[in-house]
Amino acid sequence: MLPDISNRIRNLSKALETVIIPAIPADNSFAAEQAALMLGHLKMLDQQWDFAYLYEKGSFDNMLALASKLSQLAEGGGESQIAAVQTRSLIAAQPDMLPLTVNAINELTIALGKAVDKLIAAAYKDGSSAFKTAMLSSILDYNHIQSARERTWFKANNLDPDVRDLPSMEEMLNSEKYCYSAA
Amino acid sequence: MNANTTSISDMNSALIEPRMAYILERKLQRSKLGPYTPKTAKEIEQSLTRLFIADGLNDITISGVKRMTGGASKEQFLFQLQHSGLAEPQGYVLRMDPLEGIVETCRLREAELLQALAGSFPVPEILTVDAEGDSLGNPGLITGFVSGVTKPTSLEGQSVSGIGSSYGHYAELIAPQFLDILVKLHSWQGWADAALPNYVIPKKNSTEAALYQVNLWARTWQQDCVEPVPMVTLTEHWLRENAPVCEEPCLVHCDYRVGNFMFEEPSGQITTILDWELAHFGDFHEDLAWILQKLFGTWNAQGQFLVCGLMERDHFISEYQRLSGRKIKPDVLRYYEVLNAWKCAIMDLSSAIIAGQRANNHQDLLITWLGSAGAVFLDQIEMLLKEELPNAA
Repeated sequence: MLPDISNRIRNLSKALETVIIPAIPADNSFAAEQAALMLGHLKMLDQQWDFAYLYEKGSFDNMLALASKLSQLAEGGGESQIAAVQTRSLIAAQPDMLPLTVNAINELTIALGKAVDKLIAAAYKDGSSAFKTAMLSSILDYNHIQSARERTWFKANNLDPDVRDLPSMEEMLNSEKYCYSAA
Repeated sequence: MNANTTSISDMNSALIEPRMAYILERKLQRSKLGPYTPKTAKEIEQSLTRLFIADGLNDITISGVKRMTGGASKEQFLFQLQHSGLAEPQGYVLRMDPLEGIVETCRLREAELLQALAGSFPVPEILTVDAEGDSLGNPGLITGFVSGVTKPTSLEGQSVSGIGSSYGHYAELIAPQFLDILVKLHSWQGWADAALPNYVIPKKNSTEAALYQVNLWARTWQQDCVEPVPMVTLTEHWLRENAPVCEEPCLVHCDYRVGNFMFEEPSGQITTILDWELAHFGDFHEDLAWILQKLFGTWNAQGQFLVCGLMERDHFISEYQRLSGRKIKPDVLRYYEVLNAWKCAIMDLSSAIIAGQRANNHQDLLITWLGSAGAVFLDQIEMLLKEELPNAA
């Protein structure tokens, strides 16, 4: 693809830095602030765009594993059992060949997330004590991995006080360490 | 902690302040009016003129309208007002809602509270409020202009929202005042005689203080949710089951932190406490847990974490206890640390994102930027709940 996406993002940044921002009057701090934010977003986009599919695919895999694990753990009253059956049906209905766009795969993740939400609500309504305990532990483990992925994805925002603890983008996307397992 | 788990979610679903329930419903309606375009100085002049005519002022002249930077939830403008009752123009601040933002709050409540606190606390003076935006076009509040800065002018590397700011040598001057005002706020009894019709005081010796907040933010999440986040859902249930009893609800500011107070240079004297929009009656631990968040702190040259860039955590806690005579309960503090991190996750992962998606804010770029920090709070909740794990479920 010519010109490529990185090329265009960098051209946008250069135009902002060298032409547009210097042209903003000194007394228009709102415009200056907006331009600085634009520059920040563009730099972050440049770091992210090429990995976006891999990132979303990883988020899908992790949510699928969590849904699978919770549906296996579910026990208790009727609400918990129904939520588990519905989640297992949804898992079975996942396509053999995953869609190839970021948005399409994100839609699958959202559908699985809604099923997980129902399982959590059911566990608190009539789940057995063992289910609730195991569910809590599973979600904390899932979150440990998934929030590290998300913080790494957005670490260029400079809002993370523990940014030094995060892996590189490459490690986050490729290491097994950041894959949640249902096992 | 309250171990009563019988249908808590059913039992407390009605525990939401009526005015806040209305505000969330109004937000739903207003969100359909977008996209929102930042107001120009001319538009603000016209809106303000309409408002002051409606208030009965004569010979009105609005001048010097200037947008204030920062602020992820409200549009703010400085202006000069002259009318027949004034000898000379006076400076004021307009604080106005966009269609939606990172938090949805109420200008009427804010005005009621600032009026009630005037004279007892360093708060901006209220000139008028347009609760429904009848004249301004959007709900708005006008306060007197207060001199001061929110961050030292001489230090570099400051952030847009004030978060991550450092106070340098001003920390020693500001820290005692910061604590003193907080302690006074929590012991303020003036609410009993004040006109605060749009606030609800939770019952003493009950879990209501916590549950009013859980319900408000759960409804916000339900309304603004962009995509499910298991940790957010789980935490809501955990918060309901573990709501602590609050013996004596008090006024809590709930955004008392770096960037939300002004001080004078070079004296370091605090002149005003800002941003009362999240204030409500609740448990004092809620304020403490908010102030202690890592996001609002900094590390000094010795590698020590400074609460709000001002003082070490242990010093903050011991001084608060000494000055207030209150005993901080670690488990209740932990509960509110979870609740606050959950609130922040909701602001970032739902309200900020959806307002940005619908282009309904004057700072779409900023709220989207802030929204990208949502996982920081998920990580914090996880850490806190893991420490609670034996009792967590």
